Amino acid sequence: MDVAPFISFLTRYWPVFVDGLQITAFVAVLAAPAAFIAGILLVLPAVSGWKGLAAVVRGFVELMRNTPLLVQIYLLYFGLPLLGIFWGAITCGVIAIALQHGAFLSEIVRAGIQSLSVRQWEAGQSIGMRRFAILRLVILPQALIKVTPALGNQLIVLVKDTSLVSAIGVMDLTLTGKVLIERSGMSFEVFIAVALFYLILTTSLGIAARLVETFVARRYA
Amino acid sequence: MTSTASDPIVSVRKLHKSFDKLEVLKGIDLDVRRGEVVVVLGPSGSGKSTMLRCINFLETFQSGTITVDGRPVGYEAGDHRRPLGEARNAKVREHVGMVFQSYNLFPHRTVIENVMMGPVKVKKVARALAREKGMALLAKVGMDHKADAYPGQLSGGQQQRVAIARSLAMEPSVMLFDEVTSALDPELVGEVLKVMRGLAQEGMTMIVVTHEMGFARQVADRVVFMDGGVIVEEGAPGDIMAAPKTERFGNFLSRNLDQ
Ligand SMILES: Nc1ncnc2c1ncn2[C@@H]1O[C@H](COP(=O)(O)OP(=O)(O)OP(=O)(O)O)[C@@H](O)[C@H]1O
Ligand SMILES: [Mg+2]
Repeated sequence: MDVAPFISFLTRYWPVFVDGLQITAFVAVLAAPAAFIAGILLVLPAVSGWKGLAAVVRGFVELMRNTPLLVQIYLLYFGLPLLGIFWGAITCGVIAIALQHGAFLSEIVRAGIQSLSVRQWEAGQSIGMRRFAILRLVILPQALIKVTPALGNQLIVLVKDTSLVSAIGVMDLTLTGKVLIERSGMSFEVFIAVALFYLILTTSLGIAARLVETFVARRYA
Repeated sequence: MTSTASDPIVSVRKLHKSFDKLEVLKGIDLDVRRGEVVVVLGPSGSGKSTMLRCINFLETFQSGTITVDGRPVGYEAGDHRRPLGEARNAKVREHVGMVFQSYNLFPHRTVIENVMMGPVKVKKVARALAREKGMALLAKVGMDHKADAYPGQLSGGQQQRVAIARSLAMEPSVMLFDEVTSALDPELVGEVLKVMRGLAQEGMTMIVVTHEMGFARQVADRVVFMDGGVIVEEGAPGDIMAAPKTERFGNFLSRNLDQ
């Protein structure tokens, strides 16, 4: 593949790619914080000692972790209307991604919490703090600091997983690519370009994650 | 509740504590009066830490009662032994300061933030006031110059002094010290003991578990010797450390004489 024709191809379809990139970024920007919040919420019952709820959440997390994300997206998008609930494709995609990644994140955060010494809990108790306050102010921050690298990793997986929303018609980078192939017939060039755009997104996130890691490591070593 | 100077701040009655089948405390009775410094001595495994941890209910116990400032610890007063619940346990712990062998500072917070955490988050003291009082406490333990450092940047002795300030910030009725110098390099022990001496002189009520015989002799109002989960002997250090009444304490003293 020559570079010059590829460049002219890129410039020609640039606005179309940018539209797709924006949708992909939009889905990721909604799903990532939602997944983070879901991850924290899913870890709370187990570490707060709410036994019944913890068992239910455990089952939910296993279910989420052990079924394909694409199936979950289909389930929401095609299943909910049967219950009389009509959500848009982006909403269904964001929720499915947030739930599955929330499940994985909760496992990461739980491991971080368990790696902390019980003495940190006791230190909090000794100054009269209650369990939830200790969790919020002492335990969770330290656990999150410990698992920063894993969180960064998961974020990159999440960005790549947003491509699955193309399966329910969201015009993201991936679906944009498919459409452009039909329009231009240049399948190879199109997906080189699509891959490049994903790469730009994920590597910049990767670099940001590294920066956060070094900052955290320097400050709390 | 009316209280007089002679009322005990801490009162332990017939305290029994087991870990599964292992009975660790076999009926402890201990009263600590306001301003009194009680040093607890005893061989490893005699139950010293467990007793301290029962006093602020970091450990549950099977029978007996503990009160701090007249408040029941862990269980309702009376025959029911109904657990008090988290909120009331936390309330009691506000009045009991505890310093651990391993400092247990919050590593993700600066020194001053460690000290402010209790007042701000538990007592809802305004941040500015908490900071001001916190700085005064840090000055008192000689750590105000490190207020904005993180615990990981401090020596063990410095961390332990901050841990003492963090406990003091809650203005507790009694301070519990569990071998707070045992993890320190020998040259750092003195600076921590000096802070504890100062507290004792100011009239702080203290229960101190330690292997520092010198501290016991010079600072304690009363020495309590524990062995095998019971209090074997107690009295003024000048009396019982010079002339132990029991063979067990005598042997313990001669084994630890070099310190
Ligand atoms: N969480 C626990 N589970 C089971 N057994 C325990 C636990 N904590 C302490 N024990 C046991 O209880 C006994 C008393 O322990 P404790 O820590 O109170 O002794 P100590 O007098 O403080 O000893 P040391 O001088 O070594 O600190 C020991 O036999 C110990 O093994
Ligand atoms: Mg001990």
